[in-house]
Amino acid sequence: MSNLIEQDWEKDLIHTFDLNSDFSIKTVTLFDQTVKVYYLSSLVDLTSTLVTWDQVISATGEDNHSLARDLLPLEFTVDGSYQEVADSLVKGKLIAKDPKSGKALVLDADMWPLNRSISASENENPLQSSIDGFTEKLDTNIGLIRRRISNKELVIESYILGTNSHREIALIYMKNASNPKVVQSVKDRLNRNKHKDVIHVNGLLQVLEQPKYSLVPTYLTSELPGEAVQNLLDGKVVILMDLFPNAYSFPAIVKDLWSFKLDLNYPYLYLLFFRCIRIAGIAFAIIMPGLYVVLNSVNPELLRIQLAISVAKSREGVPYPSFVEVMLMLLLMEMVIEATIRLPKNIGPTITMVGGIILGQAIVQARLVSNLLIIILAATTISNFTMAGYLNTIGIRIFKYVVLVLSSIYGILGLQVAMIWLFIYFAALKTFSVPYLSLSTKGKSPDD
Amino acid sequence: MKRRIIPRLLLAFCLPCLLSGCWDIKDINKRYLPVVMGICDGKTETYHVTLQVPTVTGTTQILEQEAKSISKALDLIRTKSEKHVDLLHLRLILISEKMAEKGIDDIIDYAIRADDISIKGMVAIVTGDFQKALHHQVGPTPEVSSYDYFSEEAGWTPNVSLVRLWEAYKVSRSYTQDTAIPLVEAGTDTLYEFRGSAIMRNSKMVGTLTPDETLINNIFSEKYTGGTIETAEDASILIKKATVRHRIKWGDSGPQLNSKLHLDIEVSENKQGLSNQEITEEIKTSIEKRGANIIDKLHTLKADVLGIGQLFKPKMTVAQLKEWKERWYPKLQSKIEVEINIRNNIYLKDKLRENNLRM
Repeated sequence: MSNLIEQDWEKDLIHTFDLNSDFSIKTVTLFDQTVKVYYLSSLVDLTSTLVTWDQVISATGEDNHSLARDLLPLEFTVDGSYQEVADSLVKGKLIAKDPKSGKALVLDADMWPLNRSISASENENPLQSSIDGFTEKLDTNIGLIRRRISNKELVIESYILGTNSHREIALIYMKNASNPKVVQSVKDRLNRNKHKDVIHVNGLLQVLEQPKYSLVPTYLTSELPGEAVQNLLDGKVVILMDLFPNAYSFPAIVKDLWSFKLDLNYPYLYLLFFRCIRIAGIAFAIIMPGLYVVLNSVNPELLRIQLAISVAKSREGVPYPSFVEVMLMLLLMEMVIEATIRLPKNIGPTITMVGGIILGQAIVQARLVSNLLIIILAATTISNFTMAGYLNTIGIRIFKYVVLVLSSIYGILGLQVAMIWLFIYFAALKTFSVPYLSLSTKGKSPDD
Repeated sequence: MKRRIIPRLLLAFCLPCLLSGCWDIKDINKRYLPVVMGICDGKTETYHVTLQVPTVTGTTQILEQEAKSISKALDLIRTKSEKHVDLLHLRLILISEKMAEKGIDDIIDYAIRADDISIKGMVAIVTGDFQKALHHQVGPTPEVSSYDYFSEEAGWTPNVSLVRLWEAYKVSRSYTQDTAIPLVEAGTDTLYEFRGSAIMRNSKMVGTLTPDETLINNIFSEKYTGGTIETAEDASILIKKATVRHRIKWGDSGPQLNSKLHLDIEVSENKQGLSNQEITEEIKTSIEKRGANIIDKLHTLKADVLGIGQLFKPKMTVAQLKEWKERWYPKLQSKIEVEINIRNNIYLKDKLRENNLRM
């Protein structure tokens, strides 16, 4: 009886997974046949699986059972290699041994519910729009998008990436809105780099051959299906990754620095107002610290005399040059931001309070920095976060240091050069053949 | 090996860029920012330079030095001062009357040459006690009030003439133009008393214009921000807008000028209840008379403060241009005609008012 003889694949399987406490080998009875099954008990709910099978199989109601044939409607049977069997096992499949042939059957099993249900998005606060956010389950996420676009032009393609660990991703686009060139080049890259393991977003970016160093992100992330859907309608390509509650929309363009897609839920005038504020915010965030140094040490002649005197008054007794002063405070601010981001909600306020005391009053009273700098710092930080999308703010946060350094070396000229540099950089950026400085991703780009 | 060379070369190229930057900058609180520079005759040397520096505490610090040249004096001030003396914010240059009579060419020339002095700065001449005018202790915000006095955004009124450095420089090089530099004196209740304008001829002070005459001068050069009270005998008016049109002719006897002054006015006081026409007549005669007076005065001084020579420039040969001030300007026959337009006499209905008067 082949049932009793241990096959090669079984030996290998047991050898590989022996150390795992959740690796289970059980013998169950199916249609009066004793079947040996292998599964990971942390993923597979065996009892519920057997109940399901019983229902299916009793519905077929045949005698002369062949396990392989009977279980066909449930999933697939693989007469595969050991490698395939092992891969299926870690994905949460159940491996049964065909009592007749002794071959491995890979069966779909009921899994423990390891997903959270759809809830309000955690990290984005939508105003005046639906609040449900993506979850970690890919199918749910696709469903969320499907439900919002009932349009036959919507295409959802599935890819499985990786050799050692598999990651399912979905490529979503609108056939009528997206730029075919972009879609094609995303597809090409996904196919070309299929073998690469994707554990995190960085891996995905490598698969998509995105530049490693880029000041502004070449993609947009959002937890809100509403955003992703609007991105799709705007002609972007959305990639969903299993186990990531975010939609990644490619390619990002300069407009995304200031436009939230959910702005469209407001009257047009309000939308314009919001966007103008955000554009002003970007300018403030980039220029302010540099301008402070320029006006304070390099080109004070740009100030009116009255202002110059009050600025000088606020700096009286400050021991450092203004560049050091600004650097110090900006770094401190970055640290406060970094510290508060991941802290538990009940420790966060402590940091905020302590930071507030230091940045607000104490450091001025100790004459370490000037009053004016605190205002500059606050304005910079606030304006920085008016921008659309958390990822976008980081690039600008970094770039303000470039502006700061150039301004402190070359004064107002340096400030200008830094700004020009930023625009030249933007002009040179191209993601999937879409120039960064384009204002729309819909259809073909004009230079095609 | 090659890969390493490139970044090193790049780094090496970056270093000169850094070196050429502003590494010698001084923070704003480490600089003195003088607003006013006073220049008068020194006791032992040629120049006595005084700098008024507003301090952060709201008082004024005075830095003084005598030397053979202005730049040497500044250099000596820099040497003795504990902060860097930065002339970037210099807004006003005060020159003593005595100095102005000798000529201000060298001062203007220095100020234009010095690349840290803004050419938008203003020039004024101080009559009377020069030191008192500089070492003043008047005003709630003494730090910048001397500058505010001349600032068009602050205390300037159309009675005060206003000359910027570049204008003074331009005029000092011109065949056909002279300028009137404001003349002030140390005041008692305010910082300065306005004493009219100094008539400069070839950068030397040759006479003065009274404040009233300065007003006409300002109207002529259309420097008007409105709101001047001009007293006729029984009424006072506000000049809202002044426009001048010149008609020139070069006849056999020399240049002829017809100027038409159009004034938009507002009646602010009317003691006798004069009619519009009467007021118009009164103002017209008064201004025409004053204008003629000024022109006479300037003719005798051979100083073309009103810039009439500029108008004749296209009609003159180079030779004539050169002798404009000496020969042709005194020969100028000019006529001023004033047109008055009363925009507002407070009464909405003129006829109604006349009826009221009769009653």
